[in-house]
Amino acid sequence: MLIADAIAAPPSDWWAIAPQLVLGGTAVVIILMICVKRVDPGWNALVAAVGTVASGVFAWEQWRQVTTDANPRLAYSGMIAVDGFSAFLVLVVCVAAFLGVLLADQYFKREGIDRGEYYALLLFSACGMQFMAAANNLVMVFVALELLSICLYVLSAWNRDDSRSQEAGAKYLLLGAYSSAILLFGIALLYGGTGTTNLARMAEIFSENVTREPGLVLLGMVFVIVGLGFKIAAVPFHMWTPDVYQGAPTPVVGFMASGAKIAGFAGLFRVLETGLAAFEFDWQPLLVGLAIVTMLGGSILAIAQRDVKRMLAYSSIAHAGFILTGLASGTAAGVRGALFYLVAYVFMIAGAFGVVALLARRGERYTSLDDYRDMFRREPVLATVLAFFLFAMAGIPGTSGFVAKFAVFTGVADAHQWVLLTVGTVASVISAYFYLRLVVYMYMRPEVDEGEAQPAALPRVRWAPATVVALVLTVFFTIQLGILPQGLLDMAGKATLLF
Amino acid sequence: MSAEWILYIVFGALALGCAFGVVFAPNPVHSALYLVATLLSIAILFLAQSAYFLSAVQIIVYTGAIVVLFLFVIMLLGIDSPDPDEVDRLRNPGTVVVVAGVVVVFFLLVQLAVGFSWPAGVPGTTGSAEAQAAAGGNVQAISEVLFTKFLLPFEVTSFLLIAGVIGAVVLARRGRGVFGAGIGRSREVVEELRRRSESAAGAEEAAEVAAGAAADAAAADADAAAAESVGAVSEEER
Repeated sequence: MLIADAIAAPPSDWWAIAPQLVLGGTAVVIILMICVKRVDPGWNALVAAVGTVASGVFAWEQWRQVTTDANPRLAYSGMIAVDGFSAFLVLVVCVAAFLGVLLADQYFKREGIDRGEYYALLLFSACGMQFMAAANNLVMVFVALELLSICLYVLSAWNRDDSRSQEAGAKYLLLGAYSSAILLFGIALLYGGTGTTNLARMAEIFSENVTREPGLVLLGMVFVIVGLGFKIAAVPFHMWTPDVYQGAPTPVVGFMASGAKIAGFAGLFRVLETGLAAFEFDWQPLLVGLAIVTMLGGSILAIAQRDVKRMLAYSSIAHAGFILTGLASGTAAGVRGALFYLVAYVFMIAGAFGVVALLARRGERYTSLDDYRDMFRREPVLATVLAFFLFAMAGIPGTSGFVAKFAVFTGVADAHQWVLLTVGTVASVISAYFYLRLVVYMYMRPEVDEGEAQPAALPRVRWAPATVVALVLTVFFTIQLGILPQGLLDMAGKATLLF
Repeated sequence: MSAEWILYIVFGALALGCAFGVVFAPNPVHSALYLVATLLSIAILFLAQSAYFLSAVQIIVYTGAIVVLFLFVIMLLGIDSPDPDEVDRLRNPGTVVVVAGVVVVFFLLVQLAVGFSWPAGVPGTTGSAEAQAAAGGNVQAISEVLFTKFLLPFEVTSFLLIAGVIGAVVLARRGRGVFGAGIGRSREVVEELRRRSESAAGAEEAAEVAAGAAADAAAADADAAAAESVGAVSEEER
């Protein structure tokens, strides 16, 4: 046989992809476990939790190396970057996946749809999110996005016998595939304009001033922003969010709302800040506009919602707007605030959806605002925990939500973007209304109005240990980041230093 | 105008027109056939760009395998003949105008593009002629970048495939009671059947219920359930 030249494979940099490998490997192990013998899915959940923790340890080690030795680098011929930004977000994804695993077990047992494959898909999805956080090449961005999205489509439809869950899965699949195609089109145009998909190389080309086709690049940039805007549920592209969040099983929503946003923002930050930094004056106004509509749209539309899951969906849209604000400010402080906001948001949203999952009872029947009447008397602990998360999301001082909003707005003020700052403040006031309305329902509306049916006495919510751990963790970090935020703010500050 | 441009204009327009056909055709089978035409046109565009391997793969994988799979699924699901109220939208004058308009706009855009120096294979990139020549051929050039530069995404795709397979199996498979709506429903019906038989309603009514169950439940489980109920019925008869 004649082989002209053996292809020299690039050197393997295992450390660079260790967190992702651990998550993907754990998912494969779970599948193998299921193949060998179907045990109680709780065991699969345990393996998944251990896997996320192990992945987090590797990510922490990466973070330590990158920040102390100041040794950020590109790996696998520029496919992924190992820098503060990637290590930070990889770590946050580990947290989101860990919470997702902890909150899932009890819920799926209650609903009778408990299967081990859930944890494998969740880990694959988290693996995609981590690759997204580290991606430094548009091809990698796309593959990672598909990995995380395809798993999420399946997870949304997990409660297959429930028509709402089916609807959520189908809608998410169709609109997600559509947005992926738009993103891919944008990537193709960027490649056409620069001849490379490597973001670092793209930045070099622009700095050498050899942009042959600025038109192609600008068009590609818009398409990429639109495609990723779908994933983070920014306002003109948010239509799928309420339906999917309302229909999908609640623990899946908790994971999806945190993880997919982390990944979407990671991709957006990286593409715009690294690859298209030369076009900052073109994308910044776009992001400012997007942030304004997203904050206002999410906050105002949430007021009209009578379903708590749907309301939280709109609230997550509003949060995406606040995070976008940090990026749109174009300052290091703004990006730092946005990264801090992402972490705070992961804890708040996972905790809030965790409580909602418990209160909804079997079949997710009780998610309407009226079902939350007088919740404090019936479920004092859960009502208090939920009220706490709602306060945090509204940005009450003493919680992580306040510090997060403050950090983002500091960046905006640094950039003297007064319109953005004003709109942001107004939007956070508007959003306080619907958060506090739910609190009022839980604490101060003892009985139903005249002529309405009395709600049936519900069985008390039972607590599983994993759920307790997850809720305690989320509450703890929401308080801790609200009172002593400096540690994480410093971390986020270091993470803004792209390699 | 070089031959490449003529190829580009002809097959670009064909691909675009057929893509509209995919969307507007009222009959799903026609949609799939339009998709074949679109993909074939794109394969020819690849050919014109001297991407021979890609062109062949496009025909073998997309036209040959994937669209055939689409057709297979469409046939399995059973296509209803198009609604008589719904006119064939492709013959609808409005649609013809829209499609013709789009094709004209496409040609105008192409004319504009001729003005640009369209970056057909930026020098030094993997798709360019030099890169192909240096690697010793089309297939070699592709394999070289796939296993060096794009090694990581290529490997990550394997995760994607596993996840896809698991997801498809989880969502599509019925059984084990957990996801088995079909089985659950059939069992209920069988119970109902027994009760009716006990109340001396007769075997005929019971057989009707069984037939209903078979129609209701999904294919595989339905067969099992029907066999079970038929068994129950015949026992009753005896």
